[in-house]
Amino acid sequence: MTVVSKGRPGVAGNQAPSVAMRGVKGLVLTICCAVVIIPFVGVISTSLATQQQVTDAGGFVIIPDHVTIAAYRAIFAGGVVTRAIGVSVFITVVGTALSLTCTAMLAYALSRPRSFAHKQLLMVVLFALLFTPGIIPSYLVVKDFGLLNSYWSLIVPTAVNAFNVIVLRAFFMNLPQALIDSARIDGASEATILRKVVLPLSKAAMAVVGLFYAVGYWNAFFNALLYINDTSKWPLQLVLQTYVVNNAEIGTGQLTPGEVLPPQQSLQMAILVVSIVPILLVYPFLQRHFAKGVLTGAVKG
Amino acid sequence: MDTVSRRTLLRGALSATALAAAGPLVAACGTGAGNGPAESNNSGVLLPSYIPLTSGPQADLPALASGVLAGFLKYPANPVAVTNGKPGDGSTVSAFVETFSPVAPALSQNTYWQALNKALGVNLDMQVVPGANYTDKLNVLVAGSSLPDLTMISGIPPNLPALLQAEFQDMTEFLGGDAVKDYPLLANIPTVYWKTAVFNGGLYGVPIPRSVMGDVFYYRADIVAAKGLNPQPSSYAEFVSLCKAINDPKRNVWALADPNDSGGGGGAVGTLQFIQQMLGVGLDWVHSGGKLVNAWELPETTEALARTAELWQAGYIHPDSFGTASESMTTTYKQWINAGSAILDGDSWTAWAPFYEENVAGPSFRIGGMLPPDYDSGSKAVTWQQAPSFSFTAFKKAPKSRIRQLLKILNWMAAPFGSAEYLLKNYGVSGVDWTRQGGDVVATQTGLAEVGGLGVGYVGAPPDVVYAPGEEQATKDCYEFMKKSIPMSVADPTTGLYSRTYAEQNTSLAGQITDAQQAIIQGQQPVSSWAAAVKSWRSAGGDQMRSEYEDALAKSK
Amino acid sequence: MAVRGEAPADEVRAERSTSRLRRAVAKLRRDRALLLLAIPGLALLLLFQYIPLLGNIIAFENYEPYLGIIHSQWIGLSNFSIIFNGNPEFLDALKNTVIITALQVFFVFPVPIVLALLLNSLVSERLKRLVQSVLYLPHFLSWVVVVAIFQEMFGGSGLLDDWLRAHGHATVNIIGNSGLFKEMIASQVIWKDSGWATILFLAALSQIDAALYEAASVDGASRWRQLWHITLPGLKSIGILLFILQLGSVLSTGFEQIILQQGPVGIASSEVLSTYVYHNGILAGQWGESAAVGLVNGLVGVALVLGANKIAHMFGEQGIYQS
Repeated sequence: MTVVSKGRPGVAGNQAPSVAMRGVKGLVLTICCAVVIIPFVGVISTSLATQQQVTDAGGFVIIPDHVTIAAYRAIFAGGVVTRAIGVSVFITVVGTALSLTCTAMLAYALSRPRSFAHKQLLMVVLFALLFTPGIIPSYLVVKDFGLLNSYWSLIVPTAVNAFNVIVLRAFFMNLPQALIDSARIDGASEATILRKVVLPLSKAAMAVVGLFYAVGYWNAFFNALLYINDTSKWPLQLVLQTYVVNNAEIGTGQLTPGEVLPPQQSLQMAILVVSIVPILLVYPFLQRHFAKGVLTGAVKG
Repeated sequence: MDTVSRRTLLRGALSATALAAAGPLVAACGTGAGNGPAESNNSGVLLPSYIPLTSGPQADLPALASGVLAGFLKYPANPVAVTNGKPGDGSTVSAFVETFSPVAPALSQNTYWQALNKALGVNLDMQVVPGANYTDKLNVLVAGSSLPDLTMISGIPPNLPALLQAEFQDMTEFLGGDAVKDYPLLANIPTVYWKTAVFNGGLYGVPIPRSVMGDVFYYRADIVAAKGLNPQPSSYAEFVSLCKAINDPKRNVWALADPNDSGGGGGAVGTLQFIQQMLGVGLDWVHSGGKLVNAWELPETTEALARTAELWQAGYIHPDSFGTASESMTTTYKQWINAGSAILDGDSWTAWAPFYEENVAGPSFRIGGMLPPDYDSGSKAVTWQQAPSFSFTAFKKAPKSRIRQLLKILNWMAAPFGSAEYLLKNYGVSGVDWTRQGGDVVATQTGLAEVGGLGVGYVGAPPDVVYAPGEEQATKDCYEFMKKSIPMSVADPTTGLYSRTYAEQNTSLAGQITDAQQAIIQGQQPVSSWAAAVKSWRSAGGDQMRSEYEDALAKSK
Repeated sequence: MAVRGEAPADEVRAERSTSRLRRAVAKLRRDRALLLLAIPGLALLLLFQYIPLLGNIIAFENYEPYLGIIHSQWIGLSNFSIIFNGNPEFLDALKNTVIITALQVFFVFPVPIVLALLLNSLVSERLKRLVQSVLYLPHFLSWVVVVAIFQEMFGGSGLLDDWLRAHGHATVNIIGNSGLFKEMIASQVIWKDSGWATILFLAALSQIDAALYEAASVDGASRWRQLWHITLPGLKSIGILLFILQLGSVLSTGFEQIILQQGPVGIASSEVLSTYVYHNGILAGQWGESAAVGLVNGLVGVALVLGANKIAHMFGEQGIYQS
């Protein structure tokens, strides 16, 4: 039995990277991270900054002098955003589960090049990627299926994404054929093969596609705009859109006196933070599936 | 790596046009030619008679016939009730409106909504959409035959006259002439505001009134005063000296925030437009003897462009002012004014008080309005009007009794500023949504969340007023400025008229014009390129628009 | 089969087609479990993508929502003329699109691959995860925010220019520089999406059998040779796949991103096909023209994808599907 090495193929063996190499790598990665982090620090800082500072800094603050959570308070007042978060979580969880199931099944079914109508069905999926239906026909279809004003209108129409199907299919096709063949010889049905052989070996791919879907559902707002009239059913992104106010439209007679709204920029940044945080929390859990060496020993053992 | 879907392209295109369209196209709804509120020029249609309310609330600063709005320094201490009993019959009334405020809590959690339902005697079903996505939603509602009872018509969607005729009720028999007496609060809305709802020889809805008052060229009065400069120059040359004196890039201070607020008309004012006003250029179109000339075709506009380019070259205009295209720079400009990094900025008259709300410069902060001076001794400066109404509410075709019922609801909603009904509709429930502080009505956190987002103010509204709670100085300043600006204002003679080419093509054509202007101002193209841009505008649709408008003008005499 | 000599052509053909039919039926029976698995996904695609696609018939109509699809006027190919009316600006837009696409191919596309390789070679698993989580953050920002951030950094009164001005140097105003526009666009795409794309490549890398590396190092292969012979080939198929799929959307290159930034640099240097079509044709409410554009985009995408796939085959690669 061969030694199963846990995850560092690049370093498996006795060649450690040279110091210079490590230095260069470190430098490059540090620069990349800095280039990303600094603006994000700015986003968070602006969301916590006071009106004074936002105005002085011209709208984008890197380091706040005084920290205030006024923007977040304004967003969460009234319980509307909290509810919308709940709606979005529901849609994301249910949607991702449904999508992953259908996508995995379809991708697997398309991963056998000599199967019946393989090329034709693949074309069906590919063309779905390249042609997008207009909003009016989509609306009419959703209406005819009775999905208007229902949470399902945000899940079912977008449940299958052709791009994700094709990507997942590619991963499936990269798996060693021998494993699948031997399972079939053992008499396993296709569904069993999928469940017991293919999926366990495709954790990374499923995690990636799952993440793509999850982010898609989490960020969706346009469908809700068209299909859902009841604002208490709106997902987070759509609700947050209404916080970006165009002051020019409000007549003075309409201005409500009282507590001043936090500065626009702070609100916008706070909105950004609120909409990103949940996804950021999910990602670390998926990362462990990207560990290398998943296939090691599988064939030999 | 996501593939950009076609839907993004289409959606982006259509929604962005709605954004762009809402601004300049609003100007096309409105009054006719001449100074001050225009005479009726759609004489075929019988507009509602104007019967001003005599028993209504008294304003601190009285409204004037010229179009100056009434001003209130505080909300009246004892709001009078101007209606009797509930207008509703217990049914559900659905309405589709744009929202410009954060989403309101659902009915079960919304005290204001419940109180409103009770006072009206109906169940309000409000369907809101963020302003940027209005067009998409409206179109799917029409295409899917899912229109609600009341629809807010904002801007001019293409083919509006045909759309109105196909789907919405002609209100002439219910509101025309003295028929409006059944709805005394609707009769309180002056005639000029109703014109925006007239198409195809019919009256198609109830307007949401604003004012004919156009944009104001604001300036930081405190900074100008501190430097001992004259805030009201009397010629273009003096204006430039003023800019030169306050411009200080080393300290991050630029004189002018907004180089060019054009976008196809609408009365929005940036530096270029301010100079046009100095030269006496009319708003969008100039009408003489049945013929229309577009402002872009006038030699004065070429001159104004040349001047603006000089100002840019001289470094008097904020270098980031050309910002991003579809995102409105208005907020950014306001911020620069508040920060003191720009001193002069054109914006809506309703922005007067919000400057104070975002004030970080301390108690000496003061905003003033600058009237355009005569360019030189040979010109006569003008200011520009705006479309008087923001939008109008159209009624889905329905049996007469239903229409009358809906009109009763709208009547209630048109209760004037200062009344008890208005207080409930715009501020909510006493103690929960607002309280009295310092003699004035002050909204609570709950009130801010519950009221604005519901958008009821876009279903029905009374004539607007100048009122800036907690900012009495701003109210007075604004009122005084209106008194000076409106008498010297001109209106767009094509407002209230429909041109198919305009509705369909203006966004794209005006976009090309703006691009040409930006290029000239920034010095990328010479001023001589303007003639070519105008020529291509004319052949791409400008001449077509002209003849359509002239036709419409002739028909409305 | 017995030798028959001169068999009539029809009979041979008939025999061949019946046997072909029989083979097909046999295949269907053999694969039915597989096809059953495909049904839910396909059904969803057919119902919610293909049925609405029929609505693209309005590309040939003068569609008005209040008239509906059936009653709107049929105008044949008129809607398509906005694309083909021979405007010189169209050629400008075409040129810009090609240049930006080239930048995408040569500079933007490789970045996530390089990043994935870099991350993959990190010794510390924790560091790798941390860096990964940082790099993908910008993907979640909308273009509006990304453009605003770049303006804050590189605009005429942004951090860079402020610093230059304060130290007496001439300002550069990168945002307003039309000569740098395309490079700015490419940089923004790199900044925003590279980290996200890296995820896909990392997943592909994790599928590589670790034993291969072991065997290679036992054989004395250097790190670079391992990279060349094991790692890169492992990425090849997914890389080519993604590349081909990207080609499908080249016509809608960066619409949202570019339309936000045309103001400061002017049309000539910034117009691409998608914005050109928007400026010259997506007139407010012209549903028919939008649908026409969508159709053309799709057809060109199909041509590009199928063409690229063929080319991949010529190089011995799998591409999206084998022929």
